[in-house]
Amino acid sequence: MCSNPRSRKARSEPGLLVLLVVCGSLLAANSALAQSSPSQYGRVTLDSHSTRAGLGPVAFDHWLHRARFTCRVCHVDIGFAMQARATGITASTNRAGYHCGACHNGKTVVAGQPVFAACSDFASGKQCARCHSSDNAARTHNYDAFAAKLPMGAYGVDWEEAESSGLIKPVDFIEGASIRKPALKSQEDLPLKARVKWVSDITFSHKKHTAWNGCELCHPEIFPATQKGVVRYSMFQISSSQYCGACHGKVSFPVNACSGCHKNMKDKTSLQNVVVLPGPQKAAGFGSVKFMHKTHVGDRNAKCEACHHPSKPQKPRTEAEQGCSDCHTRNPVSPMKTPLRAAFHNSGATAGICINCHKDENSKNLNNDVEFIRTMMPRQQATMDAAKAQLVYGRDSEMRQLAQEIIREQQSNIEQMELWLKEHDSTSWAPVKCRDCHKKMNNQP
Amino acid sequence: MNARILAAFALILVLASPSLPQSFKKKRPLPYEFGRVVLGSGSTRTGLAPVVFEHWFHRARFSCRVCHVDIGFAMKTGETAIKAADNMRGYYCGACHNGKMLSEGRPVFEACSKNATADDAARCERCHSSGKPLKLENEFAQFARPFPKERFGNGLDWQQAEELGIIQPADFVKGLSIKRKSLSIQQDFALDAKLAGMPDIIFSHKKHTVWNGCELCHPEIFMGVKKGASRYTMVSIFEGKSCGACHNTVAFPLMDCQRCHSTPPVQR
Amino acid sequence: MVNGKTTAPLLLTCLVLCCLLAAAEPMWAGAATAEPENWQKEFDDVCSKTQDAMIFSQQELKALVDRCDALEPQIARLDETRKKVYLKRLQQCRGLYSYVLESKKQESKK
Repeated sequence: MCSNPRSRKARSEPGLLVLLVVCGSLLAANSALAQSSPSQYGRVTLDSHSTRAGLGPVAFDHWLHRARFTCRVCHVDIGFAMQARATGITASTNRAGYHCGACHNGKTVVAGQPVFAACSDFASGKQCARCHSSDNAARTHNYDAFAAKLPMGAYGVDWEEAESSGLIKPVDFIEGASIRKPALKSQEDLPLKARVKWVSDITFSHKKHTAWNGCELCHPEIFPATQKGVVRYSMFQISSSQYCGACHGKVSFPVNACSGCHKNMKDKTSLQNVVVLPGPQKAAGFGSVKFMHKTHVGDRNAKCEACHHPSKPQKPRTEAEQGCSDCHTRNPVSPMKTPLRAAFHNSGATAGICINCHKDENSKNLNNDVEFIRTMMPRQQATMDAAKAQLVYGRDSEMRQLAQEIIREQQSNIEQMELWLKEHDSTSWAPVKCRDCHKKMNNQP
Repeated sequence: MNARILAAFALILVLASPSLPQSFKKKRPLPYEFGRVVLGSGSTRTGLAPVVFEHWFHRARFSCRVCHVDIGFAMKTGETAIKAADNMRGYYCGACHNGKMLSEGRPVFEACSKNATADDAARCERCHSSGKPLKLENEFAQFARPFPKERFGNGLDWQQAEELGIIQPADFVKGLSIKRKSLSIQQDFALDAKLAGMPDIIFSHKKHTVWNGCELCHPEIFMGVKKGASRYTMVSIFEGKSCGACHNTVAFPLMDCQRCHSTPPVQR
Repeated sequence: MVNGKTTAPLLLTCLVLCCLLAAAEPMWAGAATAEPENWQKEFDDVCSKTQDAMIFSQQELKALVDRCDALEPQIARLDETRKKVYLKRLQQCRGLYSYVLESKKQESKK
């Protein structure tokens, strides 16, 4: 796992941190998890030419189209690439009946109505905004109304359930673009062994995937291997939009819904309970942290996904709203020496994966009076220390006098606060302190 | 920057490159784009746009053999190194594009003439058109109308079109082609699919030699001399070796599995 | 003054000259109608048989390969364009013959 208290590890850190920086940026660039709301999930911004032509970029929503058509029809028969701006759609190709124009031609009937023609009604200018805009004002279909009728999964609509219960009937044929061929026999289910012990193995179902995709969508471009068991897919590759990540994470259920593929997650009690996270080796006084899985997963019922993001199961993840680079920064701020540590908490220990959770907990029972004291005490102590130093080293009499006044004042404040703490019950709320986690000091048992 | 950091960067590049998103599903070329070859090796140096060559236009009129054996075009962009001087001397494009040869009753326009003036710029741009809007798109729609349709590629069933006589590709260009006798045909043979469940292939020499003759494929593309000795893998085919030399670039693309894998597998 | 003694030789000379002219005329005509150069004839002869490569015996194929090899230096001396074109065509033609020769050798080994 991630623990490695050996000091020798410091030698390989530069390479590791650069690797992590690259990985983090890749993930940040590729992850659609930044758009976490279900209505935005699967939205693709297309702007090969739009902005240059004076129109807004096209915001294409997958949810509306996937309810009506299979993936195969657009990505194989019509031939859209599976990456934004890689297809080269232009107004002229649309008007010629290719790309969007395969259906958006004013003639093809979908759900009982002819689909509006794309890129042709320039005079009124009204139709342009139906695609070339990111706000929903000009759109006629509303996600919430649409999704209200469909079964919901952990990350939005449960499309698989919707299809098997007949609520959506995706069509696999477009007149003029599709040609029917006798289908190849669908391959059998494929067992994929998990690489770590704490997730279950996967049984990949060809049947479920070919219902939407046929064969040609995935083979050979996304999955070129023709022999079973030869390629070992890594979660890192998948999170970088390779292999399964070509769809999962962009349009299909995201990769951090671990149980979507790794069914029957391993029994939580089999988790390694005590994980020793290395403390800052050279900073004064802070030892390693003993992280207890049992406390967090067992007692507090935290989900695995809350801490373990899928790219590197051993490394903690930032919250859904934050980009990976927020924590995996290039220049860790002192006393954090490495970006790896910066992911756990920032320099003032005011934010980070562990701190945020504890802060949330704390804020639920926030006692601001105690919080006030907790914040002020170190500041007053620091002010007093500075004033004492002035008395030792300072020459100017006016300043020396001021320092003495400050010492008196701060001392009295500190005593008052300490007295207050003794008299009032502050144990119901225990703010997280460094020592609460960094129990073990260097060279101490 | 010390040596360790440099080494780490090198390691990162090595590790990161396969994990950079390279295997996303690319767009399918539009029917009029499929088979397009952009030839730019000499053009840009002379200030002309790279040449855009459309295979669909030419393969309706000539067999593959005429260009790739008799005229001597290579099967990879840039390998032939066509120059304007070559064209003007009556070789390569100039073998037909010489203002004299007749195709469908009309003389084929001259390529790269020595006497070209500024007024001839429009003629230069008929080929040197990369980046310029092509009007050939509309011509393709008209061209394709009588053809039987197929999936992928140009969306046309070229083979059936020839059988039905919609196209009659010529196999002889006067002045360059050598008069040959008709071919004694090599037999068809079976290729077993390696993946269980994929239908086997019956490779038809007859279908291929009608267009290609022998020299186009042997030995450059298919080197194996012993029948059954070469094991063709799909991975190498996707990379452009063996079948992939034509299929994926000009002939029907490899995504159309059933066109080759068409025999029902024997129950094993 | 033409008299009986010089007429016959004169007529004969004229006749000879005319014959020479007639024979030589093709050389004076434009290159397009000229006799194909020797290497060209040889090339056309050798490489027109590729369609029948499968029927030839091993000896015949070997002879054809040798003829291709003999042609190569002649083609290499041509101007740049023709050298490019014909070397490629020769390579394909020779390649086919040696390919079929190899196949036949493999077959006969079995």
